[in-house]
Amino acid sequence: MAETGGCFPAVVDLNEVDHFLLQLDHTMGQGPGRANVCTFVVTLRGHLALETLRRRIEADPAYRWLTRLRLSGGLLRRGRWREDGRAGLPALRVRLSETDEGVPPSLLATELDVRRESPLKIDLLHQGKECSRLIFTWHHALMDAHGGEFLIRHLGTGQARSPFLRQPPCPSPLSWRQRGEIAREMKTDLYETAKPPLLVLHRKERPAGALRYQVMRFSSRETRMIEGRARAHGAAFLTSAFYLAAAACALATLKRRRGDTLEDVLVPVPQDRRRRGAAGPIIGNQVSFLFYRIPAGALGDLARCTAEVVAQTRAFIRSGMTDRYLVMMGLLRYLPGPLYRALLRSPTQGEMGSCFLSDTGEILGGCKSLFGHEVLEAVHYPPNIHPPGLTFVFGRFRGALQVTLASMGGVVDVHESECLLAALRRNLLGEVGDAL
Amino acid sequence: MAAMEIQAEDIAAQLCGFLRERILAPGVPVTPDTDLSDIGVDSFALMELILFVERRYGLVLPPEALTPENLASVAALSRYCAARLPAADG
Repeated sequence: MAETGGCFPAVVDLNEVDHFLLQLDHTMGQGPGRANVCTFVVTLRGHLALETLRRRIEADPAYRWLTRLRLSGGLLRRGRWREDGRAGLPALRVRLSETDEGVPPSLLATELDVRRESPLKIDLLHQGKECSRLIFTWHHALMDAHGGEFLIRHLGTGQARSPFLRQPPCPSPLSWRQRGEIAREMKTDLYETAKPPLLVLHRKERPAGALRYQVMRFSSRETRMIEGRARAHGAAFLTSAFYLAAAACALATLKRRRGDTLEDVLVPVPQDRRRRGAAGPIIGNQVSFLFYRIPAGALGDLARCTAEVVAQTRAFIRSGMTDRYLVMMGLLRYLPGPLYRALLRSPTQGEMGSCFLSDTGEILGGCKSLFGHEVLEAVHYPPNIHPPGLTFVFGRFRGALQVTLASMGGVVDVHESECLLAALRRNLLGEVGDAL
Repeated sequence: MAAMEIQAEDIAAQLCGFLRERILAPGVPVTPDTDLSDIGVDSFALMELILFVERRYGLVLPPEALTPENLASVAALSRYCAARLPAADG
């Protein structure tokens, strides 16, 4: 049964995917830049007063509960969110900007110390009188992108109904022995799929460098053209397969430009496991992962690359990969953190993949206003795990495709990241001419 | 015994059952005529539905069959499948 507001547990165990993301956070925390933190920026028309925002959200029981959660354990023993009833609500930070030059990088670099502070923070940015931006920052071990969107819709639309907060864990119908067998098979498959050599853009001798975000937008007309090209390249309705193929070919273009040999591309892609047609749950990552390996030989041919991704998607669904992966992750979380993290890196010998990629679907679909103001724009800024230090997030806002690229300066410099986006744009739209 | 056609209505009932059991949140209504995009059936969920057709009826849908029109609703997909299924012995 779903838990809703009015029934806020004092302790919430991290699920198997939360645990995985917390371990990644630990790995990232040892490098430069912020750890496994998600940011979602919503631009509203007009001036949203800080007091209006404060009144609305601080009156919400779900928000009060969620911001009082603190992480305990997770590295050597099982991770849990515990409600700290004495904790105050996090300060809402407001900033003013005379110019409309997008989101200041400092607001996309917020760090969260979730053992001592709220795992969710909200910043309000006033840019002239024309627009206000809400910057929501949360720890990835708390919720995924869709969970974040559900929460923000709940807060911003003043729904009296309590939100669907979390799905309480249900006992596995499988015996320990069955789960062990599935995990063993999954591990074998994963080692086979992820074995080096892999196409990577980062160079081991270089430090990761600073995190940078770039957002590439397409018009509705261009988005329809891309969907048409996806069909023409054999993806049919599976447009996200075409996105992945286009991104893989763009990576190969950059690799060739460097004069390097091409290797197979490995991309872990999260897959939403929520039941469709209803909101929630909000907290707890509800994803599994699909691991695509695209052969180097296919990277020069977008249609072949797309066919490869579609064929692998069919094979993953047939073999129940998303369920099997969760079974394996469910067992692994009983391991001590250092061993878990060593196992996490071992199939790829530390490379993790060529890049990370996700398709969040329609962003804030059907939501026209939040906090009484028209929504003009909404963008996800993903965490960027290093290595590989390169993450693509595809999403559609009101039917128009947008891509956020997160990259580390030590992986691709400014010019290379622009070339990467140009190559991706050309692959998606089929523009004539060599962008590089 | 005479060959018996598999009716589109029978396929539609099976597909709606699969959606309720595997894809949709509890209580989300689905009928053969429901627009699948209105109930959050995204591309991955559609692929699961298509592979269910493959398992259940042994019918592999070629890429050219996977048009927006054929995938708009359970009824449309069922009609397409029924027209291509060989008659079964009744």
